[in-house]
Amino acid sequence: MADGHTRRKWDRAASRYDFMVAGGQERRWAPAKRALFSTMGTGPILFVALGTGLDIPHFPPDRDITAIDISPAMLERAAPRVAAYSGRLRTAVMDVQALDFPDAHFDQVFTACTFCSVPDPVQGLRELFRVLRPGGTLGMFEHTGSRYFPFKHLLDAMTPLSRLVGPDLNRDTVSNVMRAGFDVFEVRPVFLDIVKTIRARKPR
Amino acid sequence: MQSERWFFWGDLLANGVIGVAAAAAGYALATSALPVWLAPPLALLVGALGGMMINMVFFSRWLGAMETMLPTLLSGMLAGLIGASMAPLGILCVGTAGAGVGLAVFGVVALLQARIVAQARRGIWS
Repeated sequence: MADGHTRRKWDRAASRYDFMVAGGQERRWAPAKRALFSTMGTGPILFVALGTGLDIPHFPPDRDITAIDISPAMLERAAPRVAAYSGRLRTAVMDVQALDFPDAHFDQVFTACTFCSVPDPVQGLRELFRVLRPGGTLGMFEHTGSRYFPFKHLLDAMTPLSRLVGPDLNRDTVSNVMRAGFDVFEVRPVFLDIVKTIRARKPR
Repeated sequence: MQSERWFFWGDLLANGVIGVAAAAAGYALATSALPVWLAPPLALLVGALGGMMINMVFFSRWLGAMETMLPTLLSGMLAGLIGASMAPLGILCVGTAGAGVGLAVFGVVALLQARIVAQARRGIWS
């Protein structure tokens, strides 16, 4: 199931992506991302939505990582950062809603700002559940909706516009992770309840 | 730590500046030839969009888009409305009130952030 619409959207965004999110945003999020990625172990890891590779400098060295993205244009731009990584880092164009990996293939899965944009987030999370070994962990850095007034209403109002060029702003990703079958064991707020890290485990 | 301080003062400045700018826009609308009933809602809209635009074009480059977008949108919206409502008091009062609104929004967001972090430490997730 190749999601052509999402692929085209991110292919179009690839050339301006670094300008949009590098700088203040990346510097602000770096400590939370580094803390999340520091939990990467030495087993096989799947990283979903590598984009232009801005997260690669936050990875611990010498890990065994398979990184996917739906957009070939994004991965093309990520190539220099991929080449500079000290461990084993392979990339592939793939839709998280239909992963081309066998069941229980990875020890850990990580995502960063991914499930705001996956058209069917629960289907995507079910695929991550499938490719994780029992007891394996999911680590996510995501922005979501808010339950606080007036942020909830502002994010709801802005989502139809933001969806045209990129992500949805009002997803309930923690609930989606639970609906996919994971046991959530940690949620850390980064900015209000909107930007957060989520850690979950596939039950044994 | 140095980075945290940078973002603290940066956010404070962004909200203050946008508060002043939006209040001035509200003042300009209220003192223009527009019908009296039209100025406040227009000031609210102009403040919200203007605040967000100033943020996206200027401050987000240093402070990050997601974290500053919503507070500055709120600052702009409220300051625009205050600017239109306080126009008879003069531009100096309007500007000061606009800065006050921006700083108040910054303060409320900071308090809410502290509350959410404290709740998360106790295992209450949102």
